[in-house]
Formats: sequence, C-alpha cells, structure tokens
Amino acid sequence: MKYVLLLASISLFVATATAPSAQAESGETVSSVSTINPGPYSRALMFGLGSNFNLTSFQGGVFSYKWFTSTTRAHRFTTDLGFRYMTTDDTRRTESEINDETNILDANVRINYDLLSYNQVSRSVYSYWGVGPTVRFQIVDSEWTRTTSSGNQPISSKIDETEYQVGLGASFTVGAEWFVHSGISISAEYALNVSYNIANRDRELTSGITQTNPGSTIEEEGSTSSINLDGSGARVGISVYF
Amino acid sequence: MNPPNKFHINGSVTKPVLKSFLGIFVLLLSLSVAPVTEGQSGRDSNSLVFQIDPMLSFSGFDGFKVSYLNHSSSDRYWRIGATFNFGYEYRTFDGSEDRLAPDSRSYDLFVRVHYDRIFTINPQKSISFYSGGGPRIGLGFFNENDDGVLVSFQEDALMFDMGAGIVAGVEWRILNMLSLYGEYGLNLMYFSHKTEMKTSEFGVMIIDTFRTNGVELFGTGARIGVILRF
Repeated sequence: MKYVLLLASISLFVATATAPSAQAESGETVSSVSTINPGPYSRALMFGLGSNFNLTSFQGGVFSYKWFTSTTRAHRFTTDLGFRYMTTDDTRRTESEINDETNILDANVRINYDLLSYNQVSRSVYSYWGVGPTVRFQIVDSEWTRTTSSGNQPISSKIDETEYQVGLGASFTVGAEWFVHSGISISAEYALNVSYNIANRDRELTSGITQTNPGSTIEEEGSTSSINLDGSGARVGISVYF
Repeated sequence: MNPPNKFHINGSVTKPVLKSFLGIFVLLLSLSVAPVTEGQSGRDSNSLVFQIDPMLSFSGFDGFKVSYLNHSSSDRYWRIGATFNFGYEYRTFDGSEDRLAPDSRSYDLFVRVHYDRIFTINPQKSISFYSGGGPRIGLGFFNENDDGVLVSFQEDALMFDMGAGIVAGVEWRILNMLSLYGEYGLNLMYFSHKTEMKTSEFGVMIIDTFRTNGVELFGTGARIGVILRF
C-alpha cells in the first residue's frame, strides 16, 4: 500500500510538473522560466521530506519560512520552541506514607537563519549555497522532594538541579531545488554545522530534613564547553510558494 | 499527556481497502490538475478535512475523528474538529495453574474538541497562505480492574487539558472540490492528570495517588492533509 501511494505521489509531482498551466491554456505567452522561477518577494513555507518520503517539519522546527528578495537571493528562517512547567505529587500509602513532589521547568528555543544564493542550472532546476547563524538555548530546572512518614515526624530529602545549555554556531549549505510546479519545489541539500556549546549544571542534595533540622546539604557544580563540527547528511525538503 | 492535536479522519478510513481507495481517488483528481475557478471557497461552502500521515497514506489514527470546515467568506473560515477515542479490553488467563489475576477489564474514553478561526491572505491564488487559531479542550478517563484471588489491582485515571493554539499553513487548490494543505501549529495547553492505583497483595493494601498539573507550549510539527469541499 505504501509503495502504491509512494508511486502515486511521484506520479502526481511529475504530472503537475508537466501539466500545462492555466495561463498557457488561456493563450498567454508563457515563459516557463518566468512561470516557475521564484521572483522577488516570493514566499514559501518549507516542509521536510525524510527517509521513505516521510513528510515532516523542516529541520525539526515548529515553523520554517523562506522568502526571496531577488531572483537569486533568499532568506530562510527556521525556529523551534518549547516550554513545559509541570508539578507532580505522588503519594504511596501502606503502613507508612511516602510522598514525592516534583517541579520541572523545561524551556528551549532554537533559531536557524540562512542566507541563500541561487544559480539557475536549467529551466526548473537551481543550485544554491547558503550560510547563516544558529542560536540554541535550553534550561531545565527541577526540584524533587521525598517525604517519608512512618509514625514519627516526617523526614524529607530534596534534590534541586538546574541545567542550562547555550549553543552558538553557523551552518554552511549547498543544495539544489527543483521547481516541479509554479508553486511547489523539492530541494535536496547538504549542510555543515560548526557550533560552540556551553552546558552548566548545579545540583544540591539535602537529606535528613525535619521540622527542627534543616538537614545536611551537598552541592555539586559542573560545566562543559565544546566545539562541534558535524554534517547534516542529505536533507530533503518541499517548499510551497504562495 | 501529549495531546493528539491532529487533523481528523474517520476511523473507518483506516481500513486498508478504503485507504487504497482514497489514496487513488486523491491521485486521480490531482493528476487532472484542472485550473481552479474563482469563488470555489466562497461564502457558505462546506468541507471535510482529512489528515494524511507521514507515509502518504490515510492511516495512523486510533479512534473516531471527524472534522468540518465552513467558509464565511473567501478569505476567512472556521473549522471545528472532534476526536473520540474509546477502548475496552477484557483478558482472562485460563489454563494458568497459579493464576493470581484471572480477570482483567479496562476501558478508556477520550474526547477532544478544537476550533480554529482561519484567515487566508491570498485566497485568489491556487496556492494560498493561511493562519489562525482558537481554543482546544480535551477530557478523558481510564479504568482498569484486575480481580485476582490473592492479588488485585485497580486504577482510575482522569485527564483534562485546555488551551489555545495557532496554525500557519499553505493550501494548494488542485480542484474546486479538492485541496492539499500543509501546516505548522503551536499550542499552549494547561493539563491536569489524576491517577489512583490500589494494589492488594496477600492482604496488604497499597494506595498510590499521582497528580500532575502543568503548562506546556509545544509545536505540533508539520501536518499534511486533504480538504474535500461539497
């Protein structure tokens, strides 16, 4: 079934690419290049096309947008955004009672920008290269408290942990884009990413907390920094122009 | 809880024959690539919306889901979708010599409704851009009972979430009655879960109560689908 639909989708693209446009049917002189080519102010949403033709978000983002400022220059913007604040309360009662309270804050943002330069190869195929910065930030703040009550006064232990990661980098992209329709193109590209990343983690463990005793605390702190150079592999996408 | 937040499709469509039929149907209509006339999405036109899963087939939905779309003008419309998931499971362990939980029954129900007000920027084009947003709400519960001789287990869970979402996408009108769309979405949801588990083992009762509350902002990822107008 999947192969049938896969073939069907390929047929669809081929058919749409070769089908006469409405303008052509109306008798206008249609330059196929001008019909297909992206012009100034062309805008597109981009979607990813993964292995086995999986349709996904482009570069894993929540939004990917591309716009042309001339026939040879485009800007591409991809962002990823997430936020989660969660509290949990888990109580286990047998002869004694164990209560776990957890508060978690997790926020992340990633922004990719690429300045793309296009060069026409044939009627509907372009090559392009691009360069642009990447910014990434994530913070995870968690607090876990376990309180045990077994007839006597409750005893608690607590773990506070804060971790953040910051990444700054740049990406270099080389690819080709095939305009299969006046408003739809398929692109394939390679990208090389270089980034500088910093991660920091603070951890505080407190045990033996009672109503009269603040308990004993152990503090841990660690940080790492790294420079990464990695390739994206082949990346395939679909742009829909409007 | 990770809300489905998918566009909706009737659960019966997940049958292989219908999947094939719909896939070929969309293909044949698409291949014709007829020029779109104006006004096909004018006032009072109605549509059903189907989501295509990542493998370009009409599957991937667990439950009964339906969606409806109504144009109030050529450049704005609203759409409403509902998702119903219901499951019931009954298990026995006949033949086991030392069966401790001979019967297990569980059922769950989840209902989600979302509404979007959509604005189209260039409805006169065959490929148009749209954006919009609206509220989402979901409610569900789960119950499981394992009645054993020496061990028994009972779980009750209640799930609730509500919030708002925004979408941005492109719609390609292949025919007057048929469009393909792709869109991104971002949801901000408050969610609350409560679960209580009671386990009785050889006369000892353990009660575990689990509560979760939170706020989440998350992207829905890319969603691809089909709109059939009538």
